[in-house]
Amino acid sequence: MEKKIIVSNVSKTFYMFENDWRILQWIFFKKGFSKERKVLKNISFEVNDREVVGLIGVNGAGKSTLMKLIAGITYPSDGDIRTNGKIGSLINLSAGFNPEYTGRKNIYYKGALMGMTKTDVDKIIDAIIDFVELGEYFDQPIRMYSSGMSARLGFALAVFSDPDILIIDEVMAVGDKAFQMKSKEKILEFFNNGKAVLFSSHSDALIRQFCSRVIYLRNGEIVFDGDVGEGLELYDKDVFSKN
Amino acid sequence: MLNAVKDIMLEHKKNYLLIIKLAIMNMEKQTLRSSLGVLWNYFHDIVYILVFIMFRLLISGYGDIMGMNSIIYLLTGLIPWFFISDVLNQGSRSIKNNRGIVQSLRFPIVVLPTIEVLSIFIRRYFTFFLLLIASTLFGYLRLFSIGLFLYYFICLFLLMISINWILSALVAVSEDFHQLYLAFVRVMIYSLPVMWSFEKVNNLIVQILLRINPMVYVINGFRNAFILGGCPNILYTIYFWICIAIFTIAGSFIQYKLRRYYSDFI
Repeated sequence: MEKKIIVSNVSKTFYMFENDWRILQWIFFKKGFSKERKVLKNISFEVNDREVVGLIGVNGAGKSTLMKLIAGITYPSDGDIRTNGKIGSLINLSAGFNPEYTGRKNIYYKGALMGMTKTDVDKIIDAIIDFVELGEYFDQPIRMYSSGMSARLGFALAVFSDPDILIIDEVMAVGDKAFQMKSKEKILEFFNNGKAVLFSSHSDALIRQFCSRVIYLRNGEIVFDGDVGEGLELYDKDVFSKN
Repeated sequence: MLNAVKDIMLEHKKNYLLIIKLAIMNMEKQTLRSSLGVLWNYFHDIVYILVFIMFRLLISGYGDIMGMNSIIYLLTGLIPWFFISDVLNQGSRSIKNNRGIVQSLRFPIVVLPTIEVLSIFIRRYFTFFLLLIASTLFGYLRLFSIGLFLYYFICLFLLMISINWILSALVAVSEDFHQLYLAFVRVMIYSLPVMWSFEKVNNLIVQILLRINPMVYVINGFRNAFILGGCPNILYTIYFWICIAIFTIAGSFIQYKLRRYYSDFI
């Protein structure tokens, strides 16, 4: 067993400012913010390989922030995150695409942004074409695509770039039913190949189907970390007691 | 401070292939939908230059400006200015405009401003050729001119990259800075010896004040490169390279400081 993600004592605070000058003042002198909001407080957990961990919690509980931190998109205010292996993040699927490029060229473009070389992309391009099933759309500019279609492209690129750690932020509802089935299969394949998956969703069914463990976040703190059924039950109880 | 410089340089060294590749793609991006593609850029420049020269000739007639053919005089000012103004206008937005990359991809954001400057350079290289051709036609080109020309070219490139590190970072996090900065950029051409020469100012102090801007060194340099004996002034050269050093250190420091915050504030 190998530890893929190690999160230790991570906190993230967002600061709010009266105006933009204050941002500069704060960055250089650490003063001048008008309000602070602690989004994550002292989070620690580990994810091993062959583990699919579900993140649950209400909107604003800090799930997305946590995922962005692990994906290396934002930085923690405090604490330390270590990841072991290549990360594929399914956070904003169509991000980084250029609307004027064709689907094919966008795969190379975003691949480059993700740090892949041309030969890397050459190796997977056929598999991607096969997977996204866009037909002749694949060689047309993606401004002609529906939002589902460009999301499919983003999904395919992220999963075929062969990451060791996959981070999925509420994007499983991508595309039509047939594509959803395929993407589920692909995620299962990741699981079977011994990769770590971190997965956030509001669908109990998906969490139950995929995850071997859940982490329940409430107001930026880990309330529960363990068995899937137990975690979802606790989450449900919290939601209903509030109403 | 020096750690910051080292860090930023390493980041560039590690990603140099990516920088070149993205700079080329970036250049194509803007003209992809048009039938002439990159040629449109050349067309823009030629129209601009022609109108400018016509205007000048109408006002003061064909003749010499400060002992130099007026067409070469204008070209040597305008062509570096094209490059400068592109970097100041587009380059400074290189981080701000790439919100998608900054907010959803793991990417070394510090290379974005460099990519933009490089792609502006690739798009503009044609105008520098134009300058060389024109100076040959008018009999201004000598071997030593080409040497100086290349030297000033490198100067211009380094200057704009280091300036853009500072600008793109500040513009990215602060809209107030962006607005303030835009106000100055629009009038900047009048503070540079593009359309007029500083020798026309009688007051020596004003002349020196105008020369504080290191861009003046480059523009005057391009011009002097085509005049026999137009070697760079030693003191001004030293000043220029001190400016480059300061901008590089300041730019690296700001980028180093801000890169953790881009995704939070853009």
